[in-house]
Amino acid sequence: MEHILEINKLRKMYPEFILDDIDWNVPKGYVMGLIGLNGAGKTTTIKLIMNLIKSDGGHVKVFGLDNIQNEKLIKNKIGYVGEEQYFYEHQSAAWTGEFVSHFYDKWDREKYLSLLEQFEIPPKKRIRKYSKGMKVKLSFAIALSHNPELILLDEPTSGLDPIIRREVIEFLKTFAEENDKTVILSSHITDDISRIADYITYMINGKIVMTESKDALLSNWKKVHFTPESLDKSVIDKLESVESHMFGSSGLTKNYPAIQDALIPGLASGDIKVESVGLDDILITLVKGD
Amino acid sequence: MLRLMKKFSLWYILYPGMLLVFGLPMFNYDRLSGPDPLSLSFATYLAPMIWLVLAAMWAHEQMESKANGYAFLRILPIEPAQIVKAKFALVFISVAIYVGGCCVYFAFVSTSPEYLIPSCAYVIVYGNICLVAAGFLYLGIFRFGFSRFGKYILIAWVILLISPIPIRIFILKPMGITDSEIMQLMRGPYWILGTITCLVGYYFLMKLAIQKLSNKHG
Repeated sequence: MEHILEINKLRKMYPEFILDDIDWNVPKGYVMGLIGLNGAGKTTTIKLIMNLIKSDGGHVKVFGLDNIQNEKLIKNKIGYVGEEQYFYEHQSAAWTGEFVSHFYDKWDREKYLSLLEQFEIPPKKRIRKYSKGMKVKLSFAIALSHNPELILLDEPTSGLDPIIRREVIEFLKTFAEENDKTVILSSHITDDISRIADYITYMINGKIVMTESKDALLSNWKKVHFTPESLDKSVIDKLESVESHMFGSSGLTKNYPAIQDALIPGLASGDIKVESVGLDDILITLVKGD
Repeated sequence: MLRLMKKFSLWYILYPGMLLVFGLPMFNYDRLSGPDPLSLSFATYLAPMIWLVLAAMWAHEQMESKANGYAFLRILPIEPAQIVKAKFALVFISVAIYVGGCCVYFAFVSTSPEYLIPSCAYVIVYGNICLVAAGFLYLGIFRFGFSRFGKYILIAWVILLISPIPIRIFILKPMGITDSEIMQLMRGPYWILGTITCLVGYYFLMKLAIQKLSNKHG
């Protein structure tokens, strides 16, 4: 599998936080969701990929090129939307498009204008008069108008109301599918990621703890509800986050196929029930186990 | 880089305009009162106005800081070196235009090289000091950020603006150095050597500023 991003032993030290020698590869042509709690290191990782902050060790290769030595070339092929939107706010979207167009080799003016229209952004209005949602959409318009090969999104939907959030995510999903783009979407809102991601990476306390395809993740991780007598102790020991409550017990398995056969009698009698888990259940389990 | 220079140039265009408004009445006053249409005091009126370039620099950096301009520019395919070079080039061009403009004007109004060369040299010396001051101030901005360092631009501006008066009263006068002796100094090779030194210094300050901005970001 071809990787569009290769991170090797990347390190960044802050007084209160360390991004701890992470290794991470992102396959080309897929949507990678980066999930972690606030302060897990997602933004730091993305800023290091963009060379917006200086690393304390390790290497980042984007498109097979070192991201520091080939910064200009790489940024020419990246569309970036951060958590905060920075513009010359006394200017308009039309001016901003004209200004940034000179720095990108493949700037598509028509596409930019059509995206502004699609997002209902008035091109002549000063950006300082835009709402937060409009600024995010403007960021998307800029990020997507130079035909980027990699789209880096660092919590772009945080702070948006649910309607605009859904709109942005749906747009992104369609855009990524239609254009076969690689997208890295960082968020602590797992709902956004579960809608569009092909692969999921979990990041906890400055470390990457897991990278899996979403389908494999959701078929391997299951929640098992059981009565104590319905399940063998050896199977119960394999479960995580086991809790007892008035209707019985429940626990999470991260390798459902391995215990599936042992559950068949209980499933048939109705003493065992298996349900799918959400990405946030997995995150909570991983955080607790860290 | 030209695109960046165009973006950054607003304040640098406005301030020299102000400079002309303030400067022109002095031109005429001095021309009428002097023994020669050009005297050294003529240059001493005009030279300090070059500090307005630092005011333009401050206004520009304040606007960039307010708009998070660096954060915006850094996500675009622009290297830190391009940003720094554009800013240093703008200061240099502003200073060069002012100094060049003054010298051309002196050439028109002067009847004697006795006054012309020292007058031009005087303005050039001020231009040199302005360049070096701007270089150090940019270094401070890229090292500490405008929000922490911006006030020092204004402080430097005020100090440079008023310094000729105390220097004249408290240093030159007690030492018995007269205007004609300064003029003599301006005829020698010192100001040429000083100019070369300042230009080289400005270049190295630019290199250091590129390093600072690159280290600060990536």
